[in-house]
Amino acid sequence: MFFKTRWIVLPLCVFLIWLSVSTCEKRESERSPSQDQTHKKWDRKRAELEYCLIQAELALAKSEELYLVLNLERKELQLKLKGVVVWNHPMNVVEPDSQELQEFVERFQGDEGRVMRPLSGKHLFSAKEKTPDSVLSIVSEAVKADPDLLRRDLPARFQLLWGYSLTLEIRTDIVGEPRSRIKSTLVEFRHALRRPFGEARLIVRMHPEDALTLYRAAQPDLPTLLYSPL
Amino acid sequence: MKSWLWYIIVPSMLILAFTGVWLVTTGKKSSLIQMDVFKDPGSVHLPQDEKLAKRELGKVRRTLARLRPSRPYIVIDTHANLIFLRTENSVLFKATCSTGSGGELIDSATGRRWVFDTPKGVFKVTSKSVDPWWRKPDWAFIEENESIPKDPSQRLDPEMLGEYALGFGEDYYIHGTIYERLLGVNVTHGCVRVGADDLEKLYNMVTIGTPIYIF
Repeated sequence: MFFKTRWIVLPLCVFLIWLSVSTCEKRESERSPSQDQTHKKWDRKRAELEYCLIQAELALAKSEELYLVLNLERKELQLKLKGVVVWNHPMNVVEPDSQELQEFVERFQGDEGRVMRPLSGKHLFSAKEKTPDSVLSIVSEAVKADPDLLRRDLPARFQLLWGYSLTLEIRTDIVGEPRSRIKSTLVEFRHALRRPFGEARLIVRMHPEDALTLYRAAQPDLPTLLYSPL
Repeated sequence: MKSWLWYIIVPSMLILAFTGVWLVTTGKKSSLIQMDVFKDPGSVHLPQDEKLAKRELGKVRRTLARLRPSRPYIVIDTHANLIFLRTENSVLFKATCSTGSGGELIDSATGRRWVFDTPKGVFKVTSKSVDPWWRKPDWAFIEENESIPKDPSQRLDPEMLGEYALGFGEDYYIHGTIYERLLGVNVTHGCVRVGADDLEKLYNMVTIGTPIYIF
């Protein structure tokens, strides 16, 4: 009887030991990249930049305000609230070694090595009506709200501006009606004038729904963090 | 060249030059958030000692990581009228919703004022209810030019909130609607309306305490 039980218990023990060892190994290999970074060769400059970025993000996360993250490390645009991603979109046009990207990062950081800049403005070139006026007027009558408050035009093309000739241009596949031709011409003229002095413009293609979120969330002074490809 | 032509050419050139300078330089000045880390990033430093620096970096990384919810969270995008259940890296559920219209109502008799916005910020699911009844607030009667009932039972409406409701904030709900055609438009009085099928799925995916992020 004893021998019979031993034949069952012994392999079971061996199996359990093997299982626990392999689980520990797996956990070790699943360590987060941030933990691994600590074990890599210490790069002070890189660590200082990361520290500064995290401190900036922690400061922004303390407020109730939304902030934008240009995460070039992950090739992603993110809107964050309290340190949590509430919207994200791939920056699929960005190549890590592209000239535009390098220019953009250099201009954004400037001589002071800035990690955050507030949005200085945005310009809508063209948009398409999401809900026809006739529907809006019926709805606004029913809910007793101004039709302008209910209007959500889908932006077809717009720019986010941070000053210092930093521009992020968003384009969608929809064909929109031009908005404010004179202002658009002035904006294009300004770009043409700035180009010889150097200008950083990134272009991102986006689904109209995502473009709508970003356009409406991008209010003046929206804090923008730049995670550069370290 | 005739001399009077210079009176046109010179001012025109000057105007053009000033316009050019204005166009190039505008937008350069913007008010930065008044914090050292933003004003002067060079002032934020890790300790010189490598060991201490690594420890400090690890500490701030952990502080940032702790801000992320440990479980899926609800996100309500009031701009595109979308509701999500998501983690940092993936979207588990997405549906069209309706959020606050931003409209204003003033009671001419008392001067009371309501603004119908969906509150922005971070909340938690505080209640879950099946077949909820709506206890109509005063504005619902004022909006319809009806007198406010004295009997509380006259305020109850069994239909309006649909089959499920998730409570958050101060008397706000994610609930169903009898006006599904208006989903995707900002028409509500602050609550978040979701279509019946989507609401059922969401209701079954969340628990009390699930974080809600509204922007």
